Amino acid sequence: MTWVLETTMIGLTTGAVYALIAMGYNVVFATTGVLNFAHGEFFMGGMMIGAFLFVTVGLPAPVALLATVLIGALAGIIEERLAVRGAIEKGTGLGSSGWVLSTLGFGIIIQAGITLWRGPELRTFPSFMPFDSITIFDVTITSQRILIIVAALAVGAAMYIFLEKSLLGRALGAVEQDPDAARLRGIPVVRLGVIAFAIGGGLGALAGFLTAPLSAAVSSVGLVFGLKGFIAAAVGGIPSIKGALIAGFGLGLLEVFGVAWLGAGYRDAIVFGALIVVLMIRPAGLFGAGVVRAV
Amino acid sequence: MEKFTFGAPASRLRYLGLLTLALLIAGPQVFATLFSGLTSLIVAPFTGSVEFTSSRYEIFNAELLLIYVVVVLGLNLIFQAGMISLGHSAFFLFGAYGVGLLTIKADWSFWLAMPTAAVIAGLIGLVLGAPALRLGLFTLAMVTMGYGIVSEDMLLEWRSITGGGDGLAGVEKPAPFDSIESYYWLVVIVVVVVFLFTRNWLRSPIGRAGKATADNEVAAGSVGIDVRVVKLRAFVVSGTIAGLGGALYAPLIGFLSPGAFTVDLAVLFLLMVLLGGGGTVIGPIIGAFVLFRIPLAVEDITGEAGNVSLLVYGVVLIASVHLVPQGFMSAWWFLRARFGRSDDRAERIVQETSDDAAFESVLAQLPRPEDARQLDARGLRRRMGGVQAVDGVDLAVDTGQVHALIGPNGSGKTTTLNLLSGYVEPDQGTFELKGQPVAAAGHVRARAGLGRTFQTPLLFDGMSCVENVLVALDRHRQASNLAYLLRLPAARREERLHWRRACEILAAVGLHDPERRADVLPPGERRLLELARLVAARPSVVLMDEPAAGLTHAEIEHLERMVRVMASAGISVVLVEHHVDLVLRLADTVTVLDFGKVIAHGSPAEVREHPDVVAAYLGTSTASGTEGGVS
Repeated sequence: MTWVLETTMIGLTTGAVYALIAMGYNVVFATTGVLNFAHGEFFMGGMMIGAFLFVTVGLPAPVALLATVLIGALAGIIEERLAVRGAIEKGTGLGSSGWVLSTLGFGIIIQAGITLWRGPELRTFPSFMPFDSITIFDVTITSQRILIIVAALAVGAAMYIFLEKSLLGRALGAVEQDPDAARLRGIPVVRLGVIAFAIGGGLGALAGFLTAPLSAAVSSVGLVFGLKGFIAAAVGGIPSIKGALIAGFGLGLLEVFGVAWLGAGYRDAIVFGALIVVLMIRPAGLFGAGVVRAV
Repeated sequence: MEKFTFGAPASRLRYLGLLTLALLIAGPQVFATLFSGLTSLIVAPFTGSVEFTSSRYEIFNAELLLIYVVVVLGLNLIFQAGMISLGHSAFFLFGAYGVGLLTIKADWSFWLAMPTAAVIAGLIGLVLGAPALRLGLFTLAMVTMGYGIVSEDMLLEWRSITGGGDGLAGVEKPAPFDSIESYYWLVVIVVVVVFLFTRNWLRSPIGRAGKATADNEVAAGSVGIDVRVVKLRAFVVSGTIAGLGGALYAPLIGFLSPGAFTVDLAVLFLLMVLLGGGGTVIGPIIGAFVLFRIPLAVEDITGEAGNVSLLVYGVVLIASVHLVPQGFMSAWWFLRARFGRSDDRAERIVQETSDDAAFESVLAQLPRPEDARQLDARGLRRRMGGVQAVDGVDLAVDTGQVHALIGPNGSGKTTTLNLLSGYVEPDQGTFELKGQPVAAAGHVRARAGLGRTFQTPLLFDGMSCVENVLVALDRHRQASNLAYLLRLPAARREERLHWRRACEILAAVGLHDPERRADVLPPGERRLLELARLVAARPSVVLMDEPAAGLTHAEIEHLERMVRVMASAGISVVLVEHHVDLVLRLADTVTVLDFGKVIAHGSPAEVREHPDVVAAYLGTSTASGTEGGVS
């Protein structure tokens, strides 16, 4: 019983990380229609820059966290300017999807740049919570795990309120639905794209910073976490925030219980298997909008 | 009009191909020397030295590059059909480990193991390609990336078979290609064969169907293309070719380990395709040459491999999106358009005026459908999002009849057309063409002789006018796919014939520049091109959704004459149209819909006087308002 609870806790933690990453994809996609292939590297960047500011420089944790998120947001803005805006306007290789190349390229630059700067080795990242752990029913839960689960829920709630209720959030959604109509109604489409990338970048960095104490910071994790986060987004149904949370936690649980059953070698296979099964049944994901025929 | 080439226009790129072939045949030393020397020339400003060598290392590099070219040519086929794979490292892996395991553990001959491994990779592609039929472009990209990651994981997990992280050592090069120099010749043979195969594929009706599918799946279905077959076919062949590349890779490297089959490799393959120019015949090869060489060049400059070259990759990618949006091939097109002689074929086909006689003579070449009930739909019902969009509509059309379907906005006209086209499944109701029930799928109904035009014309925008028409003509070709892939005389003859016929049809509807790309046509000409494609598919019944929308007065008259010609050639026309004057002039029968129900049915004169119709249009019984064009 204790084992089940502990494993559940680990699964929820893993799931919270996936959900946080998934929401980063969603906010960008919902506004620009771009799937940010560099998003996993923002997560990695959050880990590495966080490790540098918090461990190497020795800034207090809240300051380091804030700075890391701001750097992530700034990187998002740079990405939008360099790799996305021109690519959408020019209508490239895949219809209007030259951004596949350029966002991949941007991700590669982040990864290679950070590896050159900090090296490929693991960097430890101590817990920064004021208390170490709490024990409920014989199950010890480290504070870092609680933090990340709470963070995922809080970010989810904030995003939900922001996207559904606030004027700016609704404008972001309108842009995705029909950029031309949105422009005609005086919505600053380009500026909103920048905002979405800033939010996405900041969210990615936040997720990386919060996850780092649970593993360690290393410059090669971007790909796998980026993919798992994407899977959570796709299973949940892009761009549904609710979907990202539910699918994120669900995948996290599935992964840890699946690994306990089949072995660690099947970690990725389990999650990808779930992705394929869900998408074959519901191509738009659990909470995604159905496909509207355009004739 | 005699000098038509096979499918695509002749290009001076052919000489580049011949030059490359000559270079390949000059042997491993020459090729490796030139190949490495060119790179050192490019980076000479940084390194200060130029070096032409044909060391064994450079020969190995040349062979590895050519193997990558094989994989990339395969990957190009699925990209061309509108799919992205970020997991082709998986197929490469299947081919490599297939050969490794079959030759080492099962003691097979390489010559048997190589094709077997490629076929296995293709069969796995049949399974892994299935999600491609349902998923969007980028979801598929991620799913395929999963294939790459999971197959690498499984190498590590299934140690007893694959050797796990320790790898699989001792894959031997087969005699008589058992030295690094002689192995080159085997690689060259495979590259040339694969190149010819993929080139023929892309230029054949198979390739055209792929391009059409990538461009617009609904339009592709409307000319009878089964997009699922197109996609799965491309996926399987692409997987087989990538597997073949892997099968060649195993003996070259001799030692297989999971680290050689990472997703990074899959990303590299895709980037080679995209950077060179996806979907083009030689673009991916150029992309492979450039991207393969970048890390080596960076190593020459900085003395360090790995991350610096990744940085350069990233910069090249972002720059390429801005500078050469369609890949390197777009630079070539630009140069040709800017400095080259213009292609004079277009002029050769121009004949002034499309008279109705030309259109008539085009249609006269088709067998006239027998006089009969062509289309018979009964009791169609369909709810759409809580609204009974179509509520028990009957529709019957005889040979050569023009049947108009009118009604206020939201009365269910387009839904009815979509039910007839098979795009929407009815909740209830039956559908027959020539007395036979036909399944509700767009391409099945199109093949049964049902043509369709759309409210906003759906064209293959990335293709030229003549290609748009050829896609439809392809349904009626006699030569087999194999004949096209081998470019047998029968296929080449038929292609020339179809090309000429497509130009005739285009001229008959009034389009005189067959090489023009569809996306640059003005709205009126887009309608004409859609009509040309429609006629080329040889339908017996056509469904036209507001064909006059957005046309000028003169264009509407032209359209009216063409519909008359179609009807007199025995084609039945179902017309949804707001332009009531046009409807009353053209239609033999009119059905009026309101709130998904038929409220009137009869000749134009009867319908015009019908009190319910007057009420529906003037809004006394409904709140739906009046329609434009009521007069």
